[in-house]
Amino acid sequence: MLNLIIKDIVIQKRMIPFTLLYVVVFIILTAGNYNKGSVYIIGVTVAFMFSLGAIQYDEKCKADNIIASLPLKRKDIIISRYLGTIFFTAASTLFITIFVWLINFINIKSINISAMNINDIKIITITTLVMMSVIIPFNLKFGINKAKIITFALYFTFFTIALNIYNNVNEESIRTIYLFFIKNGLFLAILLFAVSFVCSIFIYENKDFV
Amino acid sequence: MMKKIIGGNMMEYTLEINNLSKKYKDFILDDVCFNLEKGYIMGFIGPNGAGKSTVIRLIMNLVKRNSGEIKLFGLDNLKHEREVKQRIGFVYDENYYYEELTIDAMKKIVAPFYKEWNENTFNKYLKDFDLNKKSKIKTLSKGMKMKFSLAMALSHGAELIIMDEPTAGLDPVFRSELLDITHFLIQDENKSIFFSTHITTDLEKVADYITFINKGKIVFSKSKDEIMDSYFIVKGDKEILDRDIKSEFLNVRENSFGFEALTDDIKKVKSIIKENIIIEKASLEDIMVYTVRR
Repeated sequence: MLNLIIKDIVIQKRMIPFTLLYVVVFIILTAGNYNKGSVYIIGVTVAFMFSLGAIQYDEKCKADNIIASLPLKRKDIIISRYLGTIFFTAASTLFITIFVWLINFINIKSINISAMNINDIKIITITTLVMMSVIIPFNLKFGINKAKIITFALYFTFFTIALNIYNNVNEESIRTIYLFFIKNGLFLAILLFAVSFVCSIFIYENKDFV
Repeated sequence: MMKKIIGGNMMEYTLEINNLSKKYKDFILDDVCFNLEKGYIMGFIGPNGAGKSTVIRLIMNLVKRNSGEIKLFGLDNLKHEREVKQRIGFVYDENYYYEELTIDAMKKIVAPFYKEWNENTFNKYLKDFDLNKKSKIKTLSKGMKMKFSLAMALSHGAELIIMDEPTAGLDPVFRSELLDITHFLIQDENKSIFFSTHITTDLEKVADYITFINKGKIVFSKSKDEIMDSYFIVKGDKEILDRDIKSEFLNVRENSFGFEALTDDIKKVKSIIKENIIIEKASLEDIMVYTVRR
């Protein structure tokens, strides 16, 4: 399993410098307007890009054929997809936490952004897990091209909702939703992630590679 | 390893396929059965679309079977998937490795999955095949990609090498090299090779057994010598042919000069046709072409 996650990192390593640059530029350009919103969006986006990127890359190169021919069970491949999502979420959150801390440490006046706290990390994790819970089985079932629509739709819905919440977090109704997610979201996201995992196993076990 | 006593001899089967079926919308693989003994090379022939790749993909569990049984080294290929795949080296008809990676990076991904991976063997094959570790896979020619695939397949002590059309689209020099490698590999009596091709002349050189598939059904699975001794092409004047005689042949081709027909029962043909006929041994290509055009 670990070998498969390492494989997902190796095949995407070319993306890492671009992503780092993207994160830095995005936060610098948007922090003044959205503050935590930009951190949240970038955190989810990076985790999402790498988790989904691994699936997309394997299908695009038809490397699925090689991976499924290795001494593995199909279940192992799915476990690695889900563990990979957790890994990329953790890596993304960790990187952004360090980066924001660094900005505060250096004390760049034009970037007004408060340090990441546990709730910020929670919200990034919840969102990524929920998005990937829907996206992984869809991509496995229909292939990356057919699943593109749902992937795009989901990503932009998330973008819009996230910005709205962050821009209006002081409004009472939105604050209630926000607090509900802080309190129960992680548990619900893990539950959904587990259901998604079972669905993906079922889909993948019956899949014919072409 | 599965052992069966046939005619007093112990037979060890590396690959056993029984009543294997797979249904697609526009194609059915129907009740496929054949066995490959340990230490032998089996060629798997048939025209494009006959079901060769489907059988190989079923063996590798890349597609799911509808019914039947596949045993590798005496073990079910699904129940013992990890274990049997440790002992298989695979080469596919096109490159499925990550094109953007170098040979070395790709090896580093694949090698940890195999308990018996041998770095020296891999390096030896790279040297023999003139492959540079630092080359990106996308820069390799088709033949080089196939050699890389082969190096990967042969570096973990696999007992069964499965190759899907390894010679397709490659020049005669490469094909000859590949055949030499298969010949060399099979010197180790623990190894078996199963490979599909539609270039039948390749098989006439190296295969011990031939399995012929057409339209999703096995036409025959026999030793090459048995096939070469039993199939003949009969040539003669058109006047000889009547409906009864025609029905004795597997297939008949007629032209303005005469007829050519394929038979697997030359004794019977000789006893029926008393006129002047020419009898020639059929090549695998003849057998395939006549059977497919039936």
